[in-house]
Amino acid sequence: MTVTDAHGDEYWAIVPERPVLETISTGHLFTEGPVWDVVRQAMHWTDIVGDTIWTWKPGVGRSVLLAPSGKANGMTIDHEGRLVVAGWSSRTVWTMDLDGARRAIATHHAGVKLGTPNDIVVRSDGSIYWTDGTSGTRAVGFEAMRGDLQLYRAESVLFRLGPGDDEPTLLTDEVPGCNGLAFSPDETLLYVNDSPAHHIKVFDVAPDGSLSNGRVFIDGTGGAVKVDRAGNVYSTGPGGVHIIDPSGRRLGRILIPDHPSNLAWGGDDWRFLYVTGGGSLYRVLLHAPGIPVGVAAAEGRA
Amino acid sequence: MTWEARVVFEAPGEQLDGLAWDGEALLVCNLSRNEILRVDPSAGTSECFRPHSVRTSALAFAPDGRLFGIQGSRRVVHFDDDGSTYITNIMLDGQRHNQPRALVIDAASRIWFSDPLVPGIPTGPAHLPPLDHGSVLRLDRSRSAERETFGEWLLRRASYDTAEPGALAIAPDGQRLYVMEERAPGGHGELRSYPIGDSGELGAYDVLHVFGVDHRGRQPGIASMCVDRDGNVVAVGGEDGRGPGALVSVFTPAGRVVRTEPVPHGRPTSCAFGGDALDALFVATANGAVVSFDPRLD
Repeated sequence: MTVTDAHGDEYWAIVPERPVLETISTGHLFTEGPVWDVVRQAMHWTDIVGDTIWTWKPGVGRSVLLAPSGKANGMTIDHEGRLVVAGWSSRTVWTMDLDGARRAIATHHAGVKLGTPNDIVVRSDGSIYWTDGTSGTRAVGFEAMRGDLQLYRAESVLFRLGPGDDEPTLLTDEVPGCNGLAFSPDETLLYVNDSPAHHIKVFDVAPDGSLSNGRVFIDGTGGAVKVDRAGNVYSTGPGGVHIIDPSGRRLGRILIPDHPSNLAWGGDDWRFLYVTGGGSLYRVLLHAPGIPVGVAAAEGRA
Repeated sequence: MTWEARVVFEAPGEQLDGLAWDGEALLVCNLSRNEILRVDPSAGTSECFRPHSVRTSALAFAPDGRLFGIQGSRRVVHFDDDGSTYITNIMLDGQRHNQPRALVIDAASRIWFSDPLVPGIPTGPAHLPPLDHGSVLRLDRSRSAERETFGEWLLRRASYDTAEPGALAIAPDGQRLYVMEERAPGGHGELRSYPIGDSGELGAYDVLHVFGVDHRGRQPGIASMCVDRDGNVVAVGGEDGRGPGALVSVFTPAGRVVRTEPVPHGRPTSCAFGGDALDALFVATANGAVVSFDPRLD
């Protein structure tokens, strides 16, 4: 099947001429949150509605990492190798050590319970940024079967939890439908999807981690965003993964059979692009490597 | 003598629904603002009781004072006094129930709710299809003493001869469940009276009233109903320009219509008794009014 849709020659520096889209896992209900784990040499992802975190190791296969998961949504890995999870229905941000020990690291802000943490990223200084939405308390099939369902804030917002912070800092409420988020390679920019508005906003990031100068980066995108090492922006959107250069020029798409929900790079050289969508996890080998996460990011290795 | 109708609260243009008297004030669901209001009918003032109410459209107090409601995400919830909200059991025989429409709680704290099957109305994602029936369902507390959550409620099917049950009410002695069936065989609506057995099973129903069909279509039936202390069914429904218009109707337990009163200010959506002696009838409308009727003037 054809999976390429080039809008310009630069596309072919990123995507091979005949890429192979592999189905890694299928039969899930709503896949999300892919992240490559260098230590385990495995891909983790969530099935929100299926209430499970899955793991797939090349040459081994898939297994359940955690179930129930509090309907975990987006995930990343911090510099100590811990899984950092946007707890959609648990309404917390929590970590899981390599030995499986779990700990909630953010539960409230300004005295009220968080909304529904959606997607999450770790900055090089160890601070954790996440989008905090509202729909997890009301979307049929996504809500918690235990715990408080009351929403205490109407708006979706961005939070930051710095190393050693007891409580997150509210960064901005300028993205009312905030969903995915990703830093530019030098971390001077933060891209944030606004799903209902179908666009990505970009903010300037100050050295202290605060955000300013929010503006629309590109229209016509979906819910998740990641950035490759050259600064190209990859967003889920109509038909697949949209590739946009740092100036906001659309280079083309990688077509995905399901409606894509999120994406992440993985593999030894970070050139496999993993994409969640519908009930499946896919991957495609690209020329362009992604930005490493987790221990690899801390060590600055590719 | 007619009942005196008095507007006790107005939110012009906003859709008001589910009412419940909390002992001192009237709780009112405001669907337009996605919140539950607490209205002082004597002053005409209101405050927000619950923000972000997930389109809560119906409310009922249990005998111990706990508040339950129907939210727009196919669920019956418990509104805790501390401001939190908890889901009850949404799974019937392994499948998620439909979008509930009305609820009533009996003296044994059993929650009866109508769960209609409305063809063509999407209810959620594909992996959570609606049930293949529209029934009255019942939530019973399990023996667990823990805070009620999903696993501490038992959900049972109560009716097997309904398709689109709507408004519900229960007789003061707990022996009868009144059900507005919106889509009876033949397409008309009917008010039914079901006997409730010792273990909560529903027996063969009596039809108390039929809402007919004419060239304009099906006549609006009962949107909401409650029961007075004499056991009469006090029902609100209809809308001006269709059939007899927007009305309060009072049926005896045998189905005799003993009173009708026009409801001003639009289509009635909900009714409840309240006031110091629980003898004032409050009616919410889809046009943003809460109207009080005082049957003591009778």
